[in-house]
Formats: sequence, structure tokens, C-alpha cells
Amino acid sequence: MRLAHNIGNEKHSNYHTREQILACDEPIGFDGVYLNVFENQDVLEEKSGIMFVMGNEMGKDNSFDLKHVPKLERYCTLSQVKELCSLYNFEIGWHTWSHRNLTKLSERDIIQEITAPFPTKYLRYPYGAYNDKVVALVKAAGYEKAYSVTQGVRDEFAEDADYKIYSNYVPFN
Amino acid sequence: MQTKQQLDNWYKKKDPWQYESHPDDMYRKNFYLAVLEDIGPYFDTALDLGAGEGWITKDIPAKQIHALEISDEAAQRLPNNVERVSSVTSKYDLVMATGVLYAQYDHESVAASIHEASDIGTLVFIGGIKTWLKPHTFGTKVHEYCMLYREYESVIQIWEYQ
Repeated sequence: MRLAHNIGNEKHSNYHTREQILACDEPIGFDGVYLNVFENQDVLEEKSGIMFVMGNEMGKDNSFDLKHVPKLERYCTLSQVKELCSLYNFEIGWHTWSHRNLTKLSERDIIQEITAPFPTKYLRYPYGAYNDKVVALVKAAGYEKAYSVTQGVRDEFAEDADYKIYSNYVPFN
Repeated sequence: MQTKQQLDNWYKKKDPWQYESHPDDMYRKNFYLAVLEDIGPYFDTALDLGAGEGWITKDIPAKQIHALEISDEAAQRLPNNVERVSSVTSKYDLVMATGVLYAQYDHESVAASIHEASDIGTLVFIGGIKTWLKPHTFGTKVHEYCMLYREYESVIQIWEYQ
């Protein structure tokens, strides 16, 4: 599954143009989920994938992350994400409450972060970061698959492969 | 079981449980509101039983929000968008009872009020510390979530009333 954040024309790895999304022939995992995905939803018509929601930011903006991104963007509300999932071939996933690096948290904080307020089978690790302790807790929480963006295995027979799935960006060219 | 006088004494001080400053209560509130958006997302009418000072009540996504609260000290701090009622006189789309179906309160009476306020299709939101919650049923349980809260495990049950 490929990774995307925003749909827009900014020259930044967090942005894909409508054309780039349309050209992608693999499932896409949208992290956020940003309001510009909702506003450009017609490009999702023939697509599939997962919408990874961040709990504390639903309906708010990405001011917490402004030093890493070129401009302020709003996130979808949960209702908007659910609408996208009902209209298109997407499922809802969880991207934790506050996008903290799970490998740096206590067991208790990890459990709080990965506990979603709606039924879901899929988790995206913030910053793509996981370790053995995180994987064990994610499995125990009942997730079926967990995705990274910076590490992971491509060997489906590797130990816990479903909890170490590597996602590369939607192609930029 | 706590009396009204004991509850009024407890609520002499604002926010006696320190909900507004404890990070686990912010977490709990965000969790509640996300669950409400998931099952709603918006309700015409909502009743919060044992609303306290309305810390959660005021953010229930509903056009009309009613609160049943035994303590006058707590109820005088209810926000303007919440109307205090003294008894259940109608049916609601959403009925909430968080942290009140406990042995220390008159949970049988609270449960009776939940039944009285519910109609077929009403969503009943029960929250509380898992080992403290008294077992009551309100139709079909459609969701149950567990979360870590302070030194406890806290649960949310969503019932569809039948």
C-alpha cells in the first residue's frame, strides 16, 4: 500500500497532485486525514485503501506539525472520513491520538495511543516507528495489520510481517 | 450510598475530581466525544444523567441537551447550553450516564431513569470504571470500548434501546 497525506500542488513530500493520485495503481493509505482529500474526493473513485485518522486532530488543523510542513491544513472530521469510506473503496484505520513516537512511550501510554474510539483493523505507526514492544501491544489490541512508512519488511513470511508492513509514497513522477 | 447533602458538600469546590487538569480526563473526554461522533454524529435531543458540572455534557453533539443532576452545587455551574431538568418527562435520541452506575450512587434509580428516557432506537451511552460499574442492560449492546484511565480500566458501552 502506498502512502499519501495531502492532495494539492505544494512542492513537498506531504503533497501529491490529483494527477499523481489518479496515476497510482496500488491501494493508498492516507494519513491524517486532511480536508483536501475530502475536497478532492472524486479522484478516489477507482481507488482503494485505508484512511488513517489521528484522534486529537479530527476537525482541527496541523499547527502542531507546522515546522515539518509548508502550510497550515485542516483535517477531516470523523464524519467526513466515514463518508469517504462509505462512498469509496476505503476502510478506516487509526493513526493514534496524538502522533507521538510509540517507541519512546511507556507501555501504558502506547496502549492509550493505539486504542481507537471506533472499530478498526488497521494501524499506521506515527513516524513509521515501531519496535518489538510496540508490535506486541498492537497485536494484543486486536489489530490485524499495522503499517510503517520508514521501516518494515517486504517478506510476507517474516515474523509478525502483518505488523511491519512497509509503505512507500505514492509515486511523485 | 452518598446523600444529596454529601454530594453538595463535595461540589462546594469547583471541579472536585480535577477533570479539567488531569490528562487522563482530557483523554477520556476526547474518547467519549469521538465515540459520540462515530455513533451520531449529531443528535436532536440528549439527556445526561448525573451530569455534575457539565464538563462533558456541554460538548455533547446535540441540538437540545438536558441534564439530570442531584447536586444543586454542581448544577449551578452547568453551562448555558445545558438545561437542567428535575425528572424525566420525555424520550431522547441519546441518553448518557457516565460514572454514575456505581454502588456509591442510587444506580437502580439511575437505570430506571435511563429506561424512562429511552425509546426504541435511542442510543444509550454508559461509561465508567470497569470494576465499579453495576451490570444493567439497555437493549442490544452495539459497541464496547476499554481504555486506560488513571489507575483503572474504564469502559464505554453503547446500547441500542429496544
